[in-house]
Amino acid sequence: MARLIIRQLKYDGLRYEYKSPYFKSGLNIIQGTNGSGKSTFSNLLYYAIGGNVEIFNKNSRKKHLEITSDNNNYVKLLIQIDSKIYTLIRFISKNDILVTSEEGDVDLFPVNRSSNAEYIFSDFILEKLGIEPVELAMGPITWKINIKDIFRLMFHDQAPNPHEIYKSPDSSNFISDSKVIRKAIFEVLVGKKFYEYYKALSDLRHAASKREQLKGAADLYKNMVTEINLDNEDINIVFLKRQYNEKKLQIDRLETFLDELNTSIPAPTESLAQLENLKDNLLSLEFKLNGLQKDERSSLEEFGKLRAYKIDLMTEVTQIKKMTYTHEKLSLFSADTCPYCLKEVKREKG
Amino acid sequence: MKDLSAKKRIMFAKGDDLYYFTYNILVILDTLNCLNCDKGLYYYEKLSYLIEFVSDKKLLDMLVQITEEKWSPSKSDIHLLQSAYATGLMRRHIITRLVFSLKKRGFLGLDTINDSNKNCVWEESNKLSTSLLKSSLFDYERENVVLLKKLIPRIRTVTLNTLLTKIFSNNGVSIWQD
Repeated sequence: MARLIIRQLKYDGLRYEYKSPYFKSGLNIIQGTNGSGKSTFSNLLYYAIGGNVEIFNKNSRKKHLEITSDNNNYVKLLIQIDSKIYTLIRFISKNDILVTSEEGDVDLFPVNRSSNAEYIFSDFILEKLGIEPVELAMGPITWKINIKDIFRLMFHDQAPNPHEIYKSPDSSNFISDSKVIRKAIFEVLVGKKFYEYYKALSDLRHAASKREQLKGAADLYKNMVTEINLDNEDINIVFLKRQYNEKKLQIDRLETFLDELNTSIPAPTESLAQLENLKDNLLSLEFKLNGLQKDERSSLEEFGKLRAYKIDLMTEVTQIKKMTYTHEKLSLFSADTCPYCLKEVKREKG
Repeated sequence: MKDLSAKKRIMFAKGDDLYYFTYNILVILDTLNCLNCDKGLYYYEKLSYLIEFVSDKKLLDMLVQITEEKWSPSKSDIHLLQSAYATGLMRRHIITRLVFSLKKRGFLGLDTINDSNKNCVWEESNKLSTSLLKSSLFDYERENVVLLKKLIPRIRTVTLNTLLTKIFSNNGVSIWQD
């Protein structure tokens, strides 16, 4: 395992800035009165290596007023791993860490593990520190030990609860604070190589769950078979043979019976011909019926039309009757009536 | 005289005959009891449109269905109403001439009321022989007038515009403004 030394911490924003002295190797003790910024210093340190600091969140209830009100602010951490110097830059409320090495190589790593972020900052720094990233399998979930998890045994802000040597994790769930995880963190820090052990353990877990699956399938199959075979009495070969012979005899008998039936009944050629005749007859009659129905329809239609015509004619006739009647009674107009002024005109003989 | 009979036959063209209009007008006035100026039919122009319905039971039945029984008029119904309106409109000048001619001959009375556009027409019953109007030949028209009277309240006194609105506009036929 390599050696990690924190050399310098810098904070820079549009409104505030801070720069720590260059720390020497060995133990550094920072002393200050209340409110002088010891906690802010340690929180910035934790934030720079990818930790989650609740008071740096703008939406938090107990937010750090100076840092959350500042803009374009970042924390810059100078660390030394063995003999190599790295600069870590993390902007406040951003989840990426910019790593610059001595040689000038620049890399940007995400802080959180997600489906499209395979290699994150934690993997990078653990690799540089020479710590195998231990992978744990807990049931269906696999869990990788992160640098943040290791910091749970090293980083404490304010006086810790003596019953909790481990700092509580940033996000707490049944896996992140489990005994297995705690044990793994401790063992990793102590520096033993447990990678193979944990790999074997995870293989064992996988195998066990597969075994359970297969066992379930087998049970299902067994149940199904017993359900189908209600009468699962063992049958011996003598009995089976006898049964087989009986069935065979039955088949033979049925076959002979079928042959008899086939030969004894003569093909009904005569009645078939008659049937064909009748069919033809029926068909022609249906045709005839169809034609007659068509005729009937058109006749009815014609009849209706004629009737309507008759009614029209009748009204016309009665109208003319009425006209002549009116003429007889009133004799208003004649051929000599002017069609415009309706007066009588005198015709001159031409 | 051979000429004259031929001309007579031409004059009896159905639906465009002066006698046809005459008997319809007289039957309408008689059935509505228009016997003097007070009880007369206001706005004689209405006669032009009323004749269409009085002489055609089918058209009248359709009108009853769509106004009284609230059936929505079909396309062909509207078309029939449209042609009835157009015919009535075209005939108005003939009806006017006829009314004046009949007045001159003393069969009708015609007067304006209060010096306005309002006019009133009635039959001079003493001049007409009773046998003419009471003849059973005109039962058909008589029944139709009674039906029409039921369908259009105050048919005797409504204005021409009101009548046209009730019969045509309300049933989807656009009409000309007078």
